[in-house]
Amino acid sequence: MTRFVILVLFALIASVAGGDEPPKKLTADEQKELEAKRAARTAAGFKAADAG
Amino acid sequence: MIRESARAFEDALTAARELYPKAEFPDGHTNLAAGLFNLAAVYRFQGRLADAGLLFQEALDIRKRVFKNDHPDTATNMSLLADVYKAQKRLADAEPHFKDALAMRRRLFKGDHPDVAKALNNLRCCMWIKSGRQTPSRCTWNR
Repeated sequence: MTRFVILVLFALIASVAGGDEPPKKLTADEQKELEAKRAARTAAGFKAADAG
Repeated sequence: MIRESARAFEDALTAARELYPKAEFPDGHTNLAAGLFNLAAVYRFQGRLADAGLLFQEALDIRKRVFKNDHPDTATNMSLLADVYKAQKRLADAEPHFKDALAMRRRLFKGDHPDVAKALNNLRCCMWIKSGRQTPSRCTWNR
């Protein structure tokens, strides 16, 4: 029984630790695309603020 | 339109957080600071003071680390964070930031300069209200 509890605990710890994996690195193309989105949404934010 | 502005700046900030993760940019990045600052300014306008304060503080921390020395954006950031504290009636928290913003602008801009005058006026208002010499409604604040 004790061994079973320990195994379950290990499994739990492993699953939680797995959730802390760093986000995958963006490719150059993904970075470019995301930067374009950031710039476009920033411009849209200013435009909407100016209009409001 | 201001809600549309907030939505757009939220999207921009999400993208900036993904582009400049802490693991790769431990000091942050100017674009991330700008994203935080823009959204904070809109939240401030919407009266979401607690959210605005947190974002202005995060932007200020990044700008201090990235610019290291005095920078106009850092001074403006300090002033707007102080403005949020002032709106929350946290004058004791606002005053040091107004003071720091004034000191930085005096170092940045030699001689007479409108930004120095604005910072001086804000600090004066803050101190006068704190001392009870003036009511908040009679004080004209500058951005």
